[in-house]
Amino acid sequence: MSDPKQSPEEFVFLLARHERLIGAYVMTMVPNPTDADDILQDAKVVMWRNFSQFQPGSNFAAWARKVAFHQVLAFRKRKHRDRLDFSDEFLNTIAEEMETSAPHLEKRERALNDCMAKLPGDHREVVLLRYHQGLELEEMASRLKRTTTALYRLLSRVRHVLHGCVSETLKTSDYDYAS
Amino acid sequence: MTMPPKGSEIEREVFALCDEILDGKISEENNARLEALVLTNPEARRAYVEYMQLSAALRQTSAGLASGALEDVLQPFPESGSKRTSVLPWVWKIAAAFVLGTGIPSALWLNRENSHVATLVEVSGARWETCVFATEVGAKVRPGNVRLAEGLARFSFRNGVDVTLEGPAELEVQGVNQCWLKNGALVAHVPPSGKGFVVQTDYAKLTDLGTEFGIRTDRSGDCAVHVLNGTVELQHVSGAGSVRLSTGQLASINAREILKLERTEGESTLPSSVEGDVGRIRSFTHEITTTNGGGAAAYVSSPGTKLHFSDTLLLLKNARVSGFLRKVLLRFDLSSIGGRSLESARLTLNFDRTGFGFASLNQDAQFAVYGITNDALDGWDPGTVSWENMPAHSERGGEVDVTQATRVGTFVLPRGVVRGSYYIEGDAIARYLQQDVNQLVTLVIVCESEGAVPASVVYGIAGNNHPTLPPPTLRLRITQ
Repeated sequence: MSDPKQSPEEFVFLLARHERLIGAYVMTMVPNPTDADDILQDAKVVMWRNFSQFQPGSNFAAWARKVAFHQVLAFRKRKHRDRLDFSDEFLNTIAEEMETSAPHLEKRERALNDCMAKLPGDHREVVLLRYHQGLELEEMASRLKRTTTALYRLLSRVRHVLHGCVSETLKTSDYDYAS
Repeated sequence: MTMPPKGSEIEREVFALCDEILDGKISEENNARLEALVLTNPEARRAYVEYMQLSAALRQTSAGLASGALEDVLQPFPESGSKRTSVLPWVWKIAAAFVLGTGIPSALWLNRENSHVATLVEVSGARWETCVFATEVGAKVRPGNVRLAEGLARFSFRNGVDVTLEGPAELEVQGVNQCWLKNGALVAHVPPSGKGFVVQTDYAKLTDLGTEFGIRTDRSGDCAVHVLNGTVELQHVSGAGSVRLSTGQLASINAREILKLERTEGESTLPSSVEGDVGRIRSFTHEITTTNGGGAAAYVSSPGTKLHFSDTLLLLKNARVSGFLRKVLLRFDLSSIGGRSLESARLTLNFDRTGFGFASLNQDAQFAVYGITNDALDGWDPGTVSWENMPAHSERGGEVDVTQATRVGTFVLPRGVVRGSYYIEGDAIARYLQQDVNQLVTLVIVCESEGAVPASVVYGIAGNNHPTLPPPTLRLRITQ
């Protein structure tokens, strides 16, 4: 029997399955979207290059997180330090937290879609403008004819509501997608 | 969704500081405050991670992370020192597309003969619910999800591992050496060539060291393992310890720990949910389709749809255009229930290829099922119902008028998948059916995921005239 391990199909499959969570993992440590995108791209290239070292059958998500974590550290070394950067201790603590709660976070992510669908139209609109179109609050303010303060509060509220909805979903129902 | 945010004071403070990071400009003092909270308080840590992941997920659900020009980086090392010498060029292109974030239709690579990871070698009394491959013996099994409603299905993996799935069960085949048991039970026989085979569950990771074993898990994530012959290693996903089990040994795993149980002879005493089902004989199952009694099935197209109709399939589509959108309407006649109370309900829909549009232009597609709450609207005629006069009409392809309908469930067709059986079940649909008064219910199905371009795929559900597939079916568990 030929050795079917570590085929590119396998890489494609595993990456496709875990990419979103890896992206979220990076953004939790590096909230700036542009920086996070750069890091994720680097991490994907490193994973691709080193896929032969991935132990088939072991936990791909955990392996990918490890690679991504190193890319976060490498990025920080390269980048000019900002006084608002988190400390290394903070990053290590967060990484550890995300490692132990990975299955929990995955469940939360799955429940989010339904909660999004329950949002009232105006809430969904600000999510789309902010997250899909990537608009800054000032641009949103002029488009929606509202103040930036009002939009700041609204976005905060939407995230609070979604967080509460996801927690509630996981607590009260046998949440389950039919696919 | 208008309740005020709840949660502890710590949580509220962490969320407020996260808001400053996400939408504002956090001050140096507040940044330090956030660090201190997270480093010293476990609740703050959890709150930070959950909130920031939620924000990240919103961005990715809406957009998908950026794709840079990485082709140059990828091409120089296709065969650098690894075993990848026999790889065909198309594989590299596709893998590169993925790394680039440009994506490709999964059908392109999944359908390749050499991408299968196992073969379906035997079935016995099997009824499939969802399956990403053909369900006849000899079918090549590609990575993906399998739901077996009942019966047995035996898979032979390419490395010689033999896995028998016992329905009801849900298994995700992840690769030649790995699968994820989400629900149900399986027995695996692992020859030396398959040593290292992994079965993952919510809380446990089982690595086989050359053996035969049984494993069972349920929706709560609790899991039980019984080694029939040989040795396995069992790890808790949280890192809360690992154990080795040998012939005859059992262990159970819950959210917190692994419990090793003593050696037993013969029949295993897995903490199975099946045990609870024995003796429950006070209810029976009843099926109703859209062909029974006053039932009906139809679809409507938005104004401007001049092409692409079907007599056998109920068409569904949502895209960023005004024409060519479609929604499905189903009517079920509940008079045969005679007002008895429902224990559970499931709506099953059989998708089939329409040949209209391109599946590769869509992402995963989420569908929502709405129940019409106004009984006066149940009288629609499948011959004349239209986009505008349908119950709970909304101009938008992925929505209905929610003042006249209630959402009873959702399901997802993964990208590239246009066939297969999908269902919704749960309290919402059972409650909705139970509350009906006139013994007719109308369900509306919409595709919530908007195709990015007009040419995105048209989905089709077998209707009342399909030559081979069953019509939309309600399976009800009725209490005597």
